[in-house]
Amino acid sequence: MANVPYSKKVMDLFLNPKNLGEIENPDAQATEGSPACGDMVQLQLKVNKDTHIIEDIKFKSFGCASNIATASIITEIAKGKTIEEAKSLKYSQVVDELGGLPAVKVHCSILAIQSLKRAIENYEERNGLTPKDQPTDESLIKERLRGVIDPNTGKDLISSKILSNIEFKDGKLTVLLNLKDTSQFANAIKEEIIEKFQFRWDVKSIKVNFLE
Amino acid sequence: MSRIYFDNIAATRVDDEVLNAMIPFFTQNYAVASSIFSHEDGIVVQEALENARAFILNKLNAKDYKCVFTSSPTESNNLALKGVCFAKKAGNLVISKIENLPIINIAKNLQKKGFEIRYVGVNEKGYVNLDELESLIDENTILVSIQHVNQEIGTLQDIGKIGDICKQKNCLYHADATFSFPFFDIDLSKLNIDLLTIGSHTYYGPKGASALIVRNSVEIEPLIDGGYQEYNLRGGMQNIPAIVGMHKAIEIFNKDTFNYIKSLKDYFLEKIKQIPHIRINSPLDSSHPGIANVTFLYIEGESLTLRLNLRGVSVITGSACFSKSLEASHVLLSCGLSHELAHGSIRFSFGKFNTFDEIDKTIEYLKEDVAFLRRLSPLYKEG
Repeated sequence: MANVPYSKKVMDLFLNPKNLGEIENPDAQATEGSPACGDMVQLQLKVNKDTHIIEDIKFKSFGCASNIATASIITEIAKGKTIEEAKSLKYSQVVDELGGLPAVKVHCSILAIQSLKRAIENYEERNGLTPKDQPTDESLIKERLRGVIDPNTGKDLISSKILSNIEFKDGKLTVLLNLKDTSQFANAIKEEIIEKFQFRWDVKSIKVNFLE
Repeated sequence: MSRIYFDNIAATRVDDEVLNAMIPFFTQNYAVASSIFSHEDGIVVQEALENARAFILNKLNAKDYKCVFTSSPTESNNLALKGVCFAKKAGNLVISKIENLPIINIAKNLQKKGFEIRYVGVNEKGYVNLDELESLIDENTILVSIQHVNQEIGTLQDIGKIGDICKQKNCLYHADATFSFPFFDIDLSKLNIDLLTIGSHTYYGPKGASALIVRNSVEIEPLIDGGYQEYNLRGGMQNIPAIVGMHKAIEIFNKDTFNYIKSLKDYFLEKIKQIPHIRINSPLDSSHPGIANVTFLYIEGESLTLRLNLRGVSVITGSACFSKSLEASHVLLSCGLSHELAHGSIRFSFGKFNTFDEIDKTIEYLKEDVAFLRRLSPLYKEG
């Protein structure tokens, strides 16, 4: 075999990924990263409503070999676990299970963990399981907007300074962007923002406004 | 199984004829090149060195120029940019946004030392905007450095027009011809080029030999002090076997080689149409005969190069994941491609030792691997 920078386990999963694909009518899903960054993972879950056990989990991935392998292994690790157990997974466990990752690729495991956490959050929000003592506030909104990437620059909305202003009052979230609505990616960004908040228990409406 | 090597723009296999010309300079004529007042062994080597120098100057029709041998195109580029800037003390430099990394990094270093760097943009196929170039040059411009052929997409710049602009604006012009020479004729008696970088390892010569061709009137400060080699512009003993190999490689390169490589690329570009959702990033005319840069939409390049590598095919990608810096190709981004398209780009570069059969095989591998990765991709919707 040719020389490769990855462990045997990473190569196995890269060539024969497990739990690949999509779930029909998933109970939850999350897409983290973006094609602009060259790193994107989509996870979908089927969760048992009584036991909160993840009964099925499927992934799709746009990225390098370690991105594909980390997404694949996280589906194997999470399957059969309760959402509480799955939430406490650490990226180092993912790296260990894979027999190590090159240092520059460790971020892939962080993205995979983040995707799983977001998918579980999505499940909790859809099912009213989010603790009500964690209301939506500016820091939560900003943290989530960091997960939305501008395909033009490859940067998130905060560090690319595309986010101009946020307002959250009486359950109404308004996001103002430094971007014209004629921009090629305006609609994609808008949809992604809505996806981040649509199941929050205390968010009743979401408005994304663009520059005139 | 023998591998399929499609990375010829990075380095080529040394031609047997070239290697045979080099061997005596390891085993018999191994003395250091030295003056006519030294011993026979040194004089024979000196003759070979000066023959190579005269041959190269003649090939370029460079009557009023020096040929300074260096170790690599990167060293030639350093000597050109730093040598000229250090001699001039202050001013600005104009380079294109798609120069090879050595030029970009030399410019960044010069910026730290107080020189101003100006970047001229390119269009979607990588051609330099000549009006912008003209507007960027002023009375403080020391040097313009714009490559002849681009290393990633193969764009062939109009170095005649660029040279004319520089002459009219009264500044020096350096062209990095690492990837174009000797594929394209360069006649320095007709072109306004003051400094020219040429390599050897991109046309079946060895690594370790390159040259900077410098107009005699250009003031330049040496970067390596040492003995009295290379017009006192580059100290250190010359790599004679490599220079002899470079000489031979230029000598045997001919139009047939050019045409064969071009026919491989044309064949590849025809066959690659069998794969849906692709974008050809290379210009189809006015470009290197052997470079085809292609984006496979909805997939990321490192995954594809890795799968091809496992099948025995060597190519590279403009994806960030592939690079040590985790940055996507500055060339493709400067041409206006989105990050997403840059991430999915693959550079195929063909050489005279490749065959049509290798291209057929690679197309079959690509069909399977691209389809596999698209099945994996959340961005790809079938139909």
